[in-house]
Amino acid sequence: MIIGLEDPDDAGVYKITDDIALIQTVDFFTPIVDDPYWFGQIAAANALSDVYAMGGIPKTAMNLVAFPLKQLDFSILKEILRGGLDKIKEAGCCLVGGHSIEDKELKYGLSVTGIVHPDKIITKKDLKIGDLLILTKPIGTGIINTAIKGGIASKEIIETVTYFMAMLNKDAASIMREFPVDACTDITGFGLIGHLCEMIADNKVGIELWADKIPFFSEALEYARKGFVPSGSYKNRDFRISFVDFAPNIDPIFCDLLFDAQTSGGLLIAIKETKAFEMVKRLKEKGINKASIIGKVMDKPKGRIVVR
Amino acid sequence: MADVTIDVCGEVCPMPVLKTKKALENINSGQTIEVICDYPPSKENVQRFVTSEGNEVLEVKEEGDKVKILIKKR
Repeated sequence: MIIGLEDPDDAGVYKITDDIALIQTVDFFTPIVDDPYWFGQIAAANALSDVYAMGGIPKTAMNLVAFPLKQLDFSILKEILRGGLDKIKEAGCCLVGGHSIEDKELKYGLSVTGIVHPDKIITKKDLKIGDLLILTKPIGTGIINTAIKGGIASKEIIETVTYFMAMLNKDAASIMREFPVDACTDITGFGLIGHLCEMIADNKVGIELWADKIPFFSEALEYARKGFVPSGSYKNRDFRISFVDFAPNIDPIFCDLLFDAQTSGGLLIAIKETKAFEMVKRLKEKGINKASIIGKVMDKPKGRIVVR
Repeated sequence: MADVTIDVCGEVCPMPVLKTKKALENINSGQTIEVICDYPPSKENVQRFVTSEGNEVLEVKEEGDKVKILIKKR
């Protein structure tokens, strides 16, 4: 075993031969958008993402389904599975099976197996002082999803955020594998700050984040101001705020975005300064338009994040 | 004593905010609502919603696991 529970990363990794290691991950959740086909795509993109974050390529996937047969029409499940399958195919992955149970609350996701060369695994913890941090998708999906549940989100932002959540991290990962990357993770439930805290948990380096460079959905600020912040984001803030120093000019509502629990967020990549700008250029050429250099790995304060 | 009391205990986000919004729509300017909630994020979210609409939070009282938020409509 190369990566397991004693030093957990985005996924478990098990070496099979000198050339192949298996990456295994599983993820599922309750619906976050009303359209079942899009929900299926988002849940699948989210589950596949951990393999990409480890530097791997997803090969097989299995459906995980909990469905309230008495409350919902079976056609809804068909649409969810169709959305999931479309993303599995887009990933170049094979659907090989799955398991379903009857449950009061609908849940869908995937168990995904990928492969990586054992020498090319990208963990979340090998940040080097001076590395720049690249984020490939905007943040704020947790707040916007809460506003969607509250019925106050605009049609335009629902479409935009759905597009980004359903976007695979496949292309970003493919470009990442062309570069000598030091570390990578994907931004999901712990929010940007939470995942950064995991990256620096060994207290060897610190992080400086540049607030004006962080891509975010501007509507998320508006909805956060109106009280549509999900409980997970508040939990993230309560758990991690003691690790963060905010410059006095940072809007407290913007701080909420940094803790916001993301669904199917982007990759957060640490790469040498000399290569970072080239990588962002390549990402943008590939249509990953919101990719941005959002901060830098510093020698101090170790284990802390400074937001300027 | 508030003009209207709404109990949103057992409700999770965004329902406490939505029920507060509806209650505010049904009272007149200057009248008050007491929102009783027990879901920790609601305490902050309800206050944010209320002030973002220009209303006033008069008092926030914690009683055991419950929070009582007294609101005055602008």
